[in-house]
Amino acid sequence: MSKETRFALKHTVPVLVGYLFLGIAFGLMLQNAGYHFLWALLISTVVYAGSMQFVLLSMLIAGVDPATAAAMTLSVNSRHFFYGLSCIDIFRNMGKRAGYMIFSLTDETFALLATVKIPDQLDRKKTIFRIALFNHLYWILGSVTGAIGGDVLTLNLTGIDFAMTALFVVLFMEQIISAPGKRRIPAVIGLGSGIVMLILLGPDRFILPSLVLAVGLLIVTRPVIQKTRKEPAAR
Amino acid sequence: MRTLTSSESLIIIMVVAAMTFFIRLLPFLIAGKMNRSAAIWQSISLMLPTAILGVLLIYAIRTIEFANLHGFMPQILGVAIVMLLHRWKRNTLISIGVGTICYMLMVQFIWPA
Repeated sequence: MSKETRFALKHTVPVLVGYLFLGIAFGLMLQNAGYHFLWALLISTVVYAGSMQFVLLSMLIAGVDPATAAAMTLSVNSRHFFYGLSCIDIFRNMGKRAGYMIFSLTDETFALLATVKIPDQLDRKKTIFRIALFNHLYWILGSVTGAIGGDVLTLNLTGIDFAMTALFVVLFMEQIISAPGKRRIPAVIGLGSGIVMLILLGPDRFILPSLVLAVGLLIVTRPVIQKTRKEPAAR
Repeated sequence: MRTLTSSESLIIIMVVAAMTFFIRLLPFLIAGKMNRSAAIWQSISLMLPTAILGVLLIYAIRTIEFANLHGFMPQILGVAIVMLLHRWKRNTLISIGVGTICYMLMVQFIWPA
């Protein structure tokens, strides 16, 4: 096993837990809606978007038309636009792998890629490609497992999806710990924008306005934060 | 129980897949046309991931509601446990593993739906 593979496996364990069980839940629900495991394999391979796949499932059950499906996807997944925006430099020089990196940019993969510190002796491109690929494979594995044998699972796993929330908490804390003083401002801006917009707009509509507000505040506070950017500790 | 035929389902799935990829691709299409050496872009691209992570954290707990204990206690305590554990041990797997188990116990036994 290469060093890159070992590093990627180690850092994706939390996603493994979360994706496996969320995937199982998706596969099981898909199966119950009358779609066998090959559908789960297809959807999790080509769509690969956690919450959107549950929306897709409800659209399949309701029997929507393609235009509605397109509009729905746009509104549910629009936050992904901002992930790409901040990954442009990370994916530079990825060559043939760039297309896959962009395709596989889920919430969790983005959060890992945006925060992971890859040791110098590892090949950076190989490592981030493996992180993206492994997460995708966990998701596929989970959904196919759920579609085939989800109903034999007798263990009550209610709440296991909290692993994803916990992952975001940990990654967020790591950002705070490693960034002293004014370099914590972006983290505070993100958290604050999210809270304010959630209170104002509610859980279904707050994510896009939060991201837009965060970008706006970053632009406004840029001169303040940037004064500390030149220090050696800065990335 | 299925309301759509296989080919209708396939079309919907492909539309969702194409749109999902399109949204993820869009910033890269735009970036090619932007002056990326602009100072504003340079600094934003450094700060944006951290800010997004903050928003994502709120996104992960967005279903929180204060009408009853079940609606907020497990999430708030769960997040607090993960934070304290991580400050103490700074071990990602311990923080996430123990935090998740505590959350599961809370939603299944202490404050069930």
